[in-house]
Amino acid sequence: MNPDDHRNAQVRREIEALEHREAQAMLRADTSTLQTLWADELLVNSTANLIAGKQILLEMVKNGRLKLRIYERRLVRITTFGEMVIATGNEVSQLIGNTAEYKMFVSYMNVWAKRRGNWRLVARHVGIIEREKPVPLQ
Amino acid sequence: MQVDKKRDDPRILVVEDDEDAREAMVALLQMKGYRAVPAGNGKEALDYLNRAPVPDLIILDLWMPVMDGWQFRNEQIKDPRLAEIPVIVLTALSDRTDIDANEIIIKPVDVDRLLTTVSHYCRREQTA
Repeated sequence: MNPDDHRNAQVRREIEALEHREAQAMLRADTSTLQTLWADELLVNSTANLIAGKQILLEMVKNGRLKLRIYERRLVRITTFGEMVIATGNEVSQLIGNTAEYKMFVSYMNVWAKRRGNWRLVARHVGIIEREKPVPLQ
Repeated sequence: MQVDKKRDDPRILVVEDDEDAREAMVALLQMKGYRAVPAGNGKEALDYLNRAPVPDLIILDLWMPVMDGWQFRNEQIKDPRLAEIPVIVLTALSDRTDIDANEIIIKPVDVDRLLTTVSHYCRREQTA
């Protein structure tokens, strides 16, 4: 294995771990971890066709407006570009809304970039694959 | 001194057929202190408007089943009780903005722009 391959393999392991950690933090509404993993300039384009930044997203998680019962992430591919990495895959999530729960299957693309020596999520795009019929809350 | 007679919990009707988008916008607006009410299409919105207090603002998608945003807007303008309610149109159809609205925001919607525009039309009660 040449030095570049070795470095890329190491980066892939780091990103895999971060992808898992970020998904767990979302599921647990752990805003302290999300605050650390998300770059200040994070932009997310959601399945709701809303483009939101870090502060509004943290506020929504903290206030229970973005609450998940299920959140499973499967990484399909990681591509490295030096100090930038693109992680793509799919997710299954069950969102607890105001009046119903929504189960969704989505594809996603997360962009990670080095910020002061640490990987931070800088951009995320989510596309719907399939959505189940909402289940009204009891 | 009161400078604006708007309520301190402005009511916003969100007319959007996509459940995901509708829920997300309602959640966002409620989090920001607005009383957001969902409607799944233009007909549901008119039914709501005919039985409820007039909202301060309507956020309107264009392409919807049953009654689309263009049809809804025509009906709204015909009714003197509803005609003056400001409307923000949300659309992905950047070439189909042939609608009389106070604002048109292209999808995907920038949340910062949406909230700034909403706050412009829903100024809360203030004292000087």
